[in-house]
Amino acid sequence: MKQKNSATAVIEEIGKKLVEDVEKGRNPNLDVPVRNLANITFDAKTRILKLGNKTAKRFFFNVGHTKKFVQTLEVAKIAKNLLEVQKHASLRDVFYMAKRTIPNTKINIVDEQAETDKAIEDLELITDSSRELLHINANKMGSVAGRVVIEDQGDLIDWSKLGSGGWSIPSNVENIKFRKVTANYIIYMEKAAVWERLHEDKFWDKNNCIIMSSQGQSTRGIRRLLQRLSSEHKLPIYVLTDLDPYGLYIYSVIKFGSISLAHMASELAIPSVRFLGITTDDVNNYDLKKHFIKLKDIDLARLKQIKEYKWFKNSGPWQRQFRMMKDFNSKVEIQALSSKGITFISDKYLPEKIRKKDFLE
Amino acid sequence: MADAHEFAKRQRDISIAEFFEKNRHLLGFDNKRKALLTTIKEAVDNSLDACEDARVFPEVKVEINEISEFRYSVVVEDNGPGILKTQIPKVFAKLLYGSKFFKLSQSLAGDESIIARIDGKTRILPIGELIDKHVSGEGEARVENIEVPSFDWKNYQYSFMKASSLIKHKRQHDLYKINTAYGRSIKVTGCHSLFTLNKDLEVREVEAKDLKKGDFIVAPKSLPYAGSLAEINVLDYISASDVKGNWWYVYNIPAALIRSIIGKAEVVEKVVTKRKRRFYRFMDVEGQSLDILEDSVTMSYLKKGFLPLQVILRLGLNKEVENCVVRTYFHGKICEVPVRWQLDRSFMRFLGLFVAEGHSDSRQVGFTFGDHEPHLVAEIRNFAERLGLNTTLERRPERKSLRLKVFGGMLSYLLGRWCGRGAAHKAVPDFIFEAKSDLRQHFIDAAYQGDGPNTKRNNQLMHSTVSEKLAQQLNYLWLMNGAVASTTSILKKGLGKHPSKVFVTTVYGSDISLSKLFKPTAKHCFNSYKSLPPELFSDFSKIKDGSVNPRLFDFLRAMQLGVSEEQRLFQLEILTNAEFGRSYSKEELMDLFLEDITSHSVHNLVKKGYLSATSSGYLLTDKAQKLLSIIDRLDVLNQSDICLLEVTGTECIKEGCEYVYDISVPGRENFVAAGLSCHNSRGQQGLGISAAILYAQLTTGKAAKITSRISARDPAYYYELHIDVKSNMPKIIKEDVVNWKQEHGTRIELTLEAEYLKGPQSVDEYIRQTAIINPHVTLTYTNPKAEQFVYTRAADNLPPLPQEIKPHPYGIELGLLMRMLESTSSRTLQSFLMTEFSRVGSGTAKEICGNAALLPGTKPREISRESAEKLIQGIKSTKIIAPPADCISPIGSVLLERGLKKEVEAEFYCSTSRPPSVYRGNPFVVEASIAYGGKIPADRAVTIMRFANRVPLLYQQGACAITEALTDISWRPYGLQQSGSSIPLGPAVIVVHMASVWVPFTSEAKEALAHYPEILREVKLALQECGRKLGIYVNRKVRVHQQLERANLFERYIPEVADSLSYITGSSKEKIAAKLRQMLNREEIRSQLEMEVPEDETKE
Repeated sequence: MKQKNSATAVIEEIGKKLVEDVEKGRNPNLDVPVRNLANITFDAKTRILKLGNKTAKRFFFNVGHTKKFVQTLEVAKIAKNLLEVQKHASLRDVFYMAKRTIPNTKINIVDEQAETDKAIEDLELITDSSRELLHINANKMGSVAGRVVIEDQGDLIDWSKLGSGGWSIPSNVENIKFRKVTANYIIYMEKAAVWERLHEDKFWDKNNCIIMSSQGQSTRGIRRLLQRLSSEHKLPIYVLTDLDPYGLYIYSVIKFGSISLAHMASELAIPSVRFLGITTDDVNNYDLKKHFIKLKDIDLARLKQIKEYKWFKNSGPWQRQFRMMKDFNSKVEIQALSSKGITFISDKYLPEKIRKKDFLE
Repeated sequence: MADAHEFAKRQRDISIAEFFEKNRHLLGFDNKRKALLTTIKEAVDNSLDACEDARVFPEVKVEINEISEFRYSVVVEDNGPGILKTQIPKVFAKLLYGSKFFKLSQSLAGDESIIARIDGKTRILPIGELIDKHVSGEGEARVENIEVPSFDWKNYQYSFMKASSLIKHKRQHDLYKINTAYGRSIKVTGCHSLFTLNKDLEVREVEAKDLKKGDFIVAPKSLPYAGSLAEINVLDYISASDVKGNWWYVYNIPAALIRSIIGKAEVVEKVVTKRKRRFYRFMDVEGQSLDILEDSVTMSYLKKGFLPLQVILRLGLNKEVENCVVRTYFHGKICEVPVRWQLDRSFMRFLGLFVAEGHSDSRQVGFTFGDHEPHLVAEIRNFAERLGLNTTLERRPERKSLRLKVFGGMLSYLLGRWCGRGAAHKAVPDFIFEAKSDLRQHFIDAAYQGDGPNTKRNNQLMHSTVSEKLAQQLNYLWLMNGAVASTTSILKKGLGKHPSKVFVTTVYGSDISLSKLFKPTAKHCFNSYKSLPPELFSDFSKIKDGSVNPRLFDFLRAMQLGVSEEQRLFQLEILTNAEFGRSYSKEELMDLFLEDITSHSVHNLVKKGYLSATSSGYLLTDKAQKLLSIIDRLDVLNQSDICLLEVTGTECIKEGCEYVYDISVPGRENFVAAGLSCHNSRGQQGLGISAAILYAQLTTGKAAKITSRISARDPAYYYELHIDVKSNMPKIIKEDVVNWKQEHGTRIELTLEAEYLKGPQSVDEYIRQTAIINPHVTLTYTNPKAEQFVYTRAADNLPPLPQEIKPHPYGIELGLLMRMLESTSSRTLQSFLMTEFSRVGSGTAKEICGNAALLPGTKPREISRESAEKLIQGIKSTKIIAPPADCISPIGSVLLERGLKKEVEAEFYCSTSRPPSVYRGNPFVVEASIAYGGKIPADRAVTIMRFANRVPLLYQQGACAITEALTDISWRPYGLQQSGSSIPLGPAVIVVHMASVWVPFTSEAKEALAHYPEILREVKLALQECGRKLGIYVNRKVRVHQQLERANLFERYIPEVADSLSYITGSSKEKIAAKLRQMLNREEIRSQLEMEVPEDETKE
């Protein structure tokens, strides 16, 4: 309750400042922290990303800014409404709530969801409150299974007894309570298909661990859940992605935080996670070269970018990975392991890697 | 791809004219409409080329008149250089294949000696020997490294000029051998022109077959060449293979230099004499490996500061060691000579004496002098001792001779290299030709001095040798110093059984005084060459004095003008100051001369026919006027380098000489062979226009009417011509001399079946585009509707003349490479790469070989297809400098834009010129320009103007590489509309010009560029470059427009903002809105609407 009030209060405060601008005849403006690589610092001590203190002014009377200014206010209005009526809305909901045409014109407040998503992120920064606090949730994505019992909204849920689908991870995991955690470690994977394979093989049961996945980039809910398991139950986390620049970026986001959400890095980043695979050495050790897929130009550009990240730049082992990947000029998907046998990944690859502690920090 | 040449080859039995008749569509005469365009295009192209070749700003008039339905007359007139009378029928009424220009085959026999500077070195050699190296079989080779002496048409002074091509073809006609005074003779084809001096004292061509005994032809009397060589590096004259077995070393090499040389080697180990030893391994200039024992380097070379000469030569370090000495041993005694030898008087004289009297074998150099010549003996001894060599003198009183021997060093070897071995092969060392003229004279003098005194007669200085080469070289050496020498051969009964042929090189009379040693001894010395044509005098007097020099007084004396020099001057002054056509009284005449003049002078002038006495007074006669004009010309001749030699006989040769040869010197069209001045083949206009004439003839039966004039002095000739379709020969219908206001130029009039229409492929459009792409041209065009268009010149400079060059290695294709490998005369791959391609030196050639993993010494003919592929890979992976751009003539972005501005009214123009690039080894440049907005219609596809080598391409837009590249670009970012890969829409004219030594067309009709990836890429880059500039302009324009739109934007957003803020804060919505609306009127907010708006938010 107190949280809600404070978020509402912050929005109101910002509104008042703007009204004051108007009354005093100033060009109404918002201070928006800049979110790009130039305003990101890497804190070597905590090993997570931090948003710098560069801000940009967003004016209403500026043809370049005015649309965004209106969108931000629109989203603020929606958030205030959600908080007042005590309902949660998804990102998509917010988009539809904002999407309309200004009467007697051809101007739409927003045209695409990306615009409201951006406006919401801006609002988070301006109000210094996460979007969950603003009652806006992302879509559910990702599954988890393992020997864990939790309590969510009064229901007890055993992650080991949820059939073939596992428990689907909500976007807000703040209110979940861990009742019983017996697993020894967590494997987080990029691919839902791999998760299904491991789940079918009851990998988590045999190895007493938790398996978790998303489809593609991890959502905030997943990252927050991982972070809570890591910090509250000291479970080591291993990340399994394709060997490609995108997979490495997923790992980077989990470990250090993402650039666009750098302001929330302290709640989301998990510096202790480790990269399990697929590594370039796996390619050699498990003879995966025949499953190479050629890198596209965009992959190479991304690889070049990641290589330069401050948090990778001084890491010899990582630079070696990048170099080798560039030499391969190819990527390898996790599923390539299936060529060795459908259960090769659960019977051989993962146990062996974990036993040998063959991972990258 | 249709190729007229190929077609015609297959149908050998028909003439090209017949071929044309059957395949006219290939040449752009598919239909009446196109025929009109093609005819005009060919005529205009010819005119422009002819003018540019002659460096004249082209002024071209085009006129089309409708005679009846589908029948038009076309007139194209230019101010070009005109065409020689005799050539007019051939140029216009004979169809030729292939290139735009053809050469009239005028040629010499292969054994005629010429003087040429090849790669900067003067050589005297038979023309055949030179050209055979460049042309195998028949054909023409473009060259860049050869200069030949050629006279300037203005002042008749010789200088070395770049030859553009060497030509060789099978002899088809009789040869004529022309013998002249001074023992010269030359064998040329009958139509080959030599030169003569006409009565107006102008040099004119004369065909060899028309020459007869007693005629005079032009020869150089001097080939001035300053020369600047001051020293030579003797190592340049030593061949590495000759060093083997000789104990020759280079000493005084600094240790640092040796170390740096060794530092470049690779260390290898080899088992030699059962021990493993370390060697330094080098690659020598031939690409062979050279191993040097490490122990030798450390134990010996470094300590004593020397290297074996062979190592220096094989590694090409001649220059690096130029401050060192060459050491040899003679009976254990050290003998050292410097690497650098100064070309000074003593060295020149030593060589001269050697050429005359010396002989060398492998060990020693011997000189034989008469016993009265001890001073020469002393001179040689001095020279030898200065070089640290030993000499012995043997007196042979019984023969009244002194025999001097010089031992040791490499001198005998070097003299063999320089001056040839054996009396019959004696020659002048090549560097003598590069020396200053006084040093050359010292050499000549010593050679004549050494030859002995018996041949020195009054008024003649003679040198005898059994070496024909030496005699010729001496002849040219004299010529370079300004003396005309004769070289004749005589049979002389010598010591042997058979008489031997002796070549005598003689200079006469006053030329002897050029020598620093000999003086003409005769009281009246004269040269037997003439400076003026003898018939000149026939108009004035009966005197045919061959000894007359073109000095003013001598001439006036010959003209019998006065009896004293003073009088002559007076009389000349009168003639000079008098106006032609005006009558003078005696007093008035005498007033023309400031000082006193006797009436005797006037009387004399009348008597000699320079003045005529009439009732109204004295008048200048024609004879006087002629005299004055000759006196003007005399000045020119006085300063000139030419003289006249009398023809002593001619003979016709029907046998022998399989091939005949020619050299082309652009701009001057003459060169020197066999000591005579020769006219070279002249470039002529080719195929296109004759095809148009043939078309006209075939459709209307009317003859082509040609008028051409080469200068104000010459009359204008008028011809009516037909082409004999069976024989492909011109048929002259009418021939006349006409009055024509043009001083020089060509006019062609054709009547043809055609159709005149307006539109994008019309003649109007062709003329307009031609004016755009050729801003240096003035074009006047009158169409059949009697509309006249005048396109005036917008450029102050003529485009540079294009030059052909060798292909660049990048872009060479396998097939072409294989053909080049087969036909090359180079013996190694390395030299093949260096000689057949541009921008490849020895370093690059080696690198290519290295990258291709082929040995530089491989024989080109032995390179297989696989190896050729490797070679192409090797070329691709080697960095080679871009081809020279001076061989092509791009317009330049500034002029291109100016041309476009001139004819297309728009609001924005931009242009770009790409750096040269290469396809199939041919360099090319792509230029592009865009005009946007203004009066260009906005609602249709952009206008594309395509040009190749300044010629508009109007047909087959869709099949052209330019169109493909253009549609491949996404034009939207540049502010034009476009759906998919189509031609963009919008108010724009897009111009693309490709300039290349060889433009690849898709067909003989030359309407579309072929799709080479390199060309597509360059066109794209050029257009994108232009597009970006356009985009900046258009986007700015669009943005300004948008800002105006957005003026209302704030107003529209205000209710939204007020609503949101009101909801968030609870303040009054109306109040907020009203307040915001108030702010809207504020200056700073209004003004920022007009400003260019930063897309990003303001950073703090």
